[in-house]
Amino acid sequence: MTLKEELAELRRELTELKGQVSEVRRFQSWVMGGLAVLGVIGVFLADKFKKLMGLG
Amino acid sequence: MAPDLQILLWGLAASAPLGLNLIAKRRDADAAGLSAMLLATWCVGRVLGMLYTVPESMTLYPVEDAFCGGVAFVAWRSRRAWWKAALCGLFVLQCCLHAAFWAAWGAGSRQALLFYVAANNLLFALELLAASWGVLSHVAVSALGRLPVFARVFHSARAPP
Repeated sequence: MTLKEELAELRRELTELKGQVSEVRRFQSWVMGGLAVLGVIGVFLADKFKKLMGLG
Repeated sequence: MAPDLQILLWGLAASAPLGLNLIAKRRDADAAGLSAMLLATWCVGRVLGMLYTVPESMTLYPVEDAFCGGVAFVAWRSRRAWWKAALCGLFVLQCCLHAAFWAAWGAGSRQALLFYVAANNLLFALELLAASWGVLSHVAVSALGRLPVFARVFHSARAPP
C-alpha cells in the first residue's frame, strides 16, 4: 500500500469515526433531554406520590 | 381481555421499538430517542392512571402529545426522514382527538370516552410502528436479500452506477 493510499484509507476511517461520534452525541442529548423532562414531571407528581404513600 | 394482560401487552408493544432500535446493527439516535420518548409517555400514562381516576388521569395527555409532536418536529427538521414527519402528523392528529374529546366531555357526552380510548390506542400503535419503521424496513430488506429470488434485485439496487 502506497503512502497516498494509506492516507486515503485513514481519511475515510476518520470520516466514519466523526459520524459515529456525532451519532453518540445526538444519543447523549436525547438521554439528557429525556431525563430532564421526566424530572420535571416527577416534581409535578411528587405531592400526589407523597399522599399516596402516606408521607404528606 | 383482562386489564392486567392488556397493560402487559401494551407494555411489551411500547418497549419493542426501543429494543429493536438498540439491538439494530446500524443504530439511529433519533429512532432510539423517539422510541424511548414513546415508552416514557406510556409509562407516565400508567402512573397517572394509578394516581387519578378516569378521565382526570387523561388531562395531561394533550400536553404530553403536544410536547412529543414538537420534539418529533425538531428531530425531523435536523435530520429529515419521512417516518419522523409521519410521527409528527400522528401527534397532531392525537392533539385534535384530545381537543374533540374534551369538548364532547364538557358538553356531557359520556359515550365519547370509549371512542376516545380506542382512537388513542390506534394512534399510539401507529406511532410505535412509525418509530420502528427504519429498523423494520432494514430487517425486511436484509431478510429478502438473503432469498435467492430477491438477492439479484437487492444486489443490483445496491451496486454503484
